[in-house]
Amino acid sequence: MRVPLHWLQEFVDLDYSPQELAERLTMQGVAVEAVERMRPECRGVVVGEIAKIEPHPSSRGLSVVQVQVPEGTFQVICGATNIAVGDKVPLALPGSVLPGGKKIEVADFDGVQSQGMVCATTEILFGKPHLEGEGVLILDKSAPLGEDVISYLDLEDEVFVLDLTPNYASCLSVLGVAYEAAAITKRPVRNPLKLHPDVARGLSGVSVTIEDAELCPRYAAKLVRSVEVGMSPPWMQWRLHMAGMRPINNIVDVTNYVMLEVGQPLHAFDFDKLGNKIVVRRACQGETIVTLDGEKRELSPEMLLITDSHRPVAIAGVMGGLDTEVTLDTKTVLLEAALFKPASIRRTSGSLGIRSEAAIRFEKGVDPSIQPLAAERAAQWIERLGAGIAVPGVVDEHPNPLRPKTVSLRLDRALEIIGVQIPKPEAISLLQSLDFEIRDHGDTLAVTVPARRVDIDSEIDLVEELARTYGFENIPATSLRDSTVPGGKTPEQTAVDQVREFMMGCGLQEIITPSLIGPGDLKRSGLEAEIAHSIRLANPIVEDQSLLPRSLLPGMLKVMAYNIAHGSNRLKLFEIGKAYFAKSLPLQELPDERLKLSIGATGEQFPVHWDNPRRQVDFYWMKGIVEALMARLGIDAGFVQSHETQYHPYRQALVIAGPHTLGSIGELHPDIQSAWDLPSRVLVAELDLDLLLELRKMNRTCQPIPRYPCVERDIAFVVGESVPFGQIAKAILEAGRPLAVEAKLFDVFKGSWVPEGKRSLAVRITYRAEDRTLTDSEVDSVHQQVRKELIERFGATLRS
Amino acid sequence: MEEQILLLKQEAINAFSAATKMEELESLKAKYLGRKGQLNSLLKRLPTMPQEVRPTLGKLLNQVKSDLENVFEEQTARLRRAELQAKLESEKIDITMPGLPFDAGNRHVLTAITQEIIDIFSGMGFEIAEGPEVETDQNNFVALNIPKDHPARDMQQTFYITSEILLRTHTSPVQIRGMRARYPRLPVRLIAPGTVYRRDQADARHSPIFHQVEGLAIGEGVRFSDLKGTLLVFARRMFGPDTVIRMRPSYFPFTEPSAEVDVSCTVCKGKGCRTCGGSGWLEILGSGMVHPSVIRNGGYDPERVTGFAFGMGVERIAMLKYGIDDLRLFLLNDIRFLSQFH
Repeated sequence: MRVPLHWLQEFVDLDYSPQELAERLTMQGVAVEAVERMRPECRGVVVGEIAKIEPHPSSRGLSVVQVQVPEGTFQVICGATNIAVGDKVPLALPGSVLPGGKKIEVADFDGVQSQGMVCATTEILFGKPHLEGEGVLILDKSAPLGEDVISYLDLEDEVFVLDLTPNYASCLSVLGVAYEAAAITKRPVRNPLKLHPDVARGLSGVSVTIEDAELCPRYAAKLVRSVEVGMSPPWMQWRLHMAGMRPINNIVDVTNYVMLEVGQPLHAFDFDKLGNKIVVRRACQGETIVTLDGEKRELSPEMLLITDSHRPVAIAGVMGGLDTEVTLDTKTVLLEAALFKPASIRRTSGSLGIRSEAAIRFEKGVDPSIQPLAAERAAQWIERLGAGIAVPGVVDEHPNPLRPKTVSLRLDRALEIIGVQIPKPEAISLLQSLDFEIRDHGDTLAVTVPARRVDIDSEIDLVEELARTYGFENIPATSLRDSTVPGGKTPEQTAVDQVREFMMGCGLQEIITPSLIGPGDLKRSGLEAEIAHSIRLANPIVEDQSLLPRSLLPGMLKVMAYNIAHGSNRLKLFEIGKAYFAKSLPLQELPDERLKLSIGATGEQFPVHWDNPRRQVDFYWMKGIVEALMARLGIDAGFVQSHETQYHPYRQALVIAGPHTLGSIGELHPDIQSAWDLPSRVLVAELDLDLLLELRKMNRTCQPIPRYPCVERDIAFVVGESVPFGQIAKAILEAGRPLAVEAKLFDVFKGSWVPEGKRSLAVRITYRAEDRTLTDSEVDSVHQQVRKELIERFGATLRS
Repeated sequence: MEEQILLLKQEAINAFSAATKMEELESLKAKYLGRKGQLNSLLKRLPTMPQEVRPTLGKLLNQVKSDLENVFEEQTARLRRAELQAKLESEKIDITMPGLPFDAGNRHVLTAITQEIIDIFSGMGFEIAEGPEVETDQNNFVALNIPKDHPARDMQQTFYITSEILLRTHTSPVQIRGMRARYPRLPVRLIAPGTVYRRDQADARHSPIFHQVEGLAIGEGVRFSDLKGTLLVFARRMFGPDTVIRMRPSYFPFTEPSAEVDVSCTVCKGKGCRTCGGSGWLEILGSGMVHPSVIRNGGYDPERVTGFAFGMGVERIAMLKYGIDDLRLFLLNDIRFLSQFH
């Protein structure tokens, strides 16, 4: 909503500077986004008087006009026919500039010099060529010669640009804003509708039938005869322009003007093209109408129509029909001021894609009490402009008249909710300043709500009115008085933080990727089968963001690809994010949202440095991180060979703990690596973090520090390379039971002297007894057991 | 003989002091103090001396021996020091060469901001609550006073999965879930960080996916002034102790009275600058008193308890705090961006 201040001042005295008032309105809830100073941008156009009119010597239809200004007489060539000697007109002097920057110069018209231009309204207000049939603007006889026309017309004004929240439907009119301003200035409002509150009911020759009173609770109509359609005066056109509307003609302008004034949308029909029986009904299936904008509209039964006895003439509250539009030939006008159900208008305007000013007001809620008054007001304006004569009386179909709303307010409770102490008389006067009527019943106040405040229904609404007129800035800042509560994170939330800290400690950068991905991302990640398991949006913006997946891998790879393409060559990343598991598809109930930990790395393990080894990340690097995390969480995890398509077939593993699969780790399959344009090997891991949190060991008891020293023995042997080390390590510990407590692989060698198909392993075995220092012979004998086991079980050849 | 002894002493002292290497010193020690050394050969000559001078000479010889041994020790220490010094000098390094770099992991800037917010409210007794991103229309809209056809529900802005299941458009459904999960416990104080979704085209100021933190306090006698006080504490911890806040009346269907909360501009301290568009204020969150029907939808009796709620955009706070000007940077995960925050 845009509110010109001179207009606002017609209804209330303002007393404050525009900036100050804007600030106060904002702090009262009516947000003034900007204060704009507006004036038609024309310079050098002054009041002149026609001194002489002669036909152009050679060009038919043009006149040579002498225009008098204090500086002298200017000769201009003019095509208009509505001027006479003695008329005062706007004269654009040579060198003057019209809005939009058009410069007026001395020109030659077929051998006759034109020293400027006499102007039409459209030219001086908007800098556009005058309309067909639009003559020169004839100013009042009293206009002082030589005065700047814009100053003379008093068009310059300041405009409040409001950024209204949906509850301020009542501020979609200058009058409504005047009531808000009045609550600040404490001045009375001059409500133009209260000037003639009694409208004669009934209007012969017009009947209105409302077939659906739920969608149309009220319909008022008013006739204006002897209409002369033309331009509305400059001040009205300019006000409409400042308020953001386009002037059309005097009749349509008046309907828009009254809508902006009092908030009631009006429509003007050409009565002679309309039958005298108006029926408000729902559309039939397949019915169509051509609207004012020339579009043919398909209608459906949920839409409400205004019809004459034969056909639709308007889509109720949204847009009128072209057939019954007011034209230059219109002689009689029927003015409609109706009330429609907001939700219905919202649906209709939404499905037709018509966001008209009328629809915007109807869907937010219009004052239900003013329909006949607004129709009457519009008829008066037409009369005042000399554009027609109002036919006395008004039709007012109103099947279920509304009673004024009264809401009861417990003042003590209201003040307690706000947290302020305001004396009762002051509180009452705050509410009265907003035009509420108060009856004091002691403990409660009976508050009668002005009909235009469609947003007020309940006590809490009044609490808000009280708080905002008292001023949020005057409310103190206090502390919660409740008994204190512990607050903070749950153990699970803390554990998630710890996992994050641990990942950071491993040198990984956290990322947060979009949870919406596309089928292409899954396909590119080797997870094509996941597309069918992913939750799909019904109305995605783009296909690339249409799925909620069960895996964080595509998001991880996308980030890696982006960073590699932008010059990074080593990446060590992790994400803690959600994966979405539908219980069934299409979705019947909410899916399981599980936290996952995703890790991804590519490039060198260590930053480039003169003293760092230059080694790429590999499976064991990734496994080391996962093992360390498991140890940190106290989860006894193992790794088993897996067969997932996204990974290198021989470099991948499931991470398991007892019966649970915790996730997987692996080197990305080279095909997928190249699909994402990743130049080096990529290691990824994805773990079910929720499951890790469930399985983590919470209460640890302290283990005593060993009291007796351990003995370490190294053992080196050659064994078939297909024998998994995991089995060997297990066998060592079993054979060395109970003294062997740890078996660490510290060397692996293949090739050279090692026979084809075999590898040489070196293991450091730790022996320890809890209750004594081990003797050499004790260790020797256990170690011998271990050697024997390696030979017998794995066919190992011992080297030491 | 006495002269001979003193002469030998002086000679030995001179020789020890002149030595420049340990080996040299060791051989000098053998020469003067060794078993076959010069001092010993003098000692061997002692029995040939007259009886009466023997004790004196013997004493002198012992004295000289111990003196020379002391000198030897001193000179040994001197040479050791010199040798160490030489070794250390040979070990001189270029301390301007770069240290061994290690990858210090970073948290994502959104995590950092979220944790900062959580920490502040944890300290005020707020629990951390969570809710699903895939929500029911009921929890996301209807229970928050936004029935179908409500103007505040803009179809274009919501991602739907089915007609009744959607991606939450705000963290506010956690108000409903949080109350229901806790009823009838009082007071309820929770803070709920999370991802939210709006059907907006991504540009510098819009993102279909962003993050919010919701706050909720329900209890007996919770006041609007408590909301103001709580948010003031938050703003000062988050933006600095001189921060002031301004509450402007606003509208949310699920709170009443509702307020937008501004903080004094973090750049110009309220004087007016480009960041705050000259106003001196930066809008940081929406808030209000929980609407009675929302309290009822949460299971509590609005006649008995009241409460406040607020919601803030994590990206918004991060943008203000770090001067980030493009919303798209947050989910792009450019490590050159991410590595700037810790």
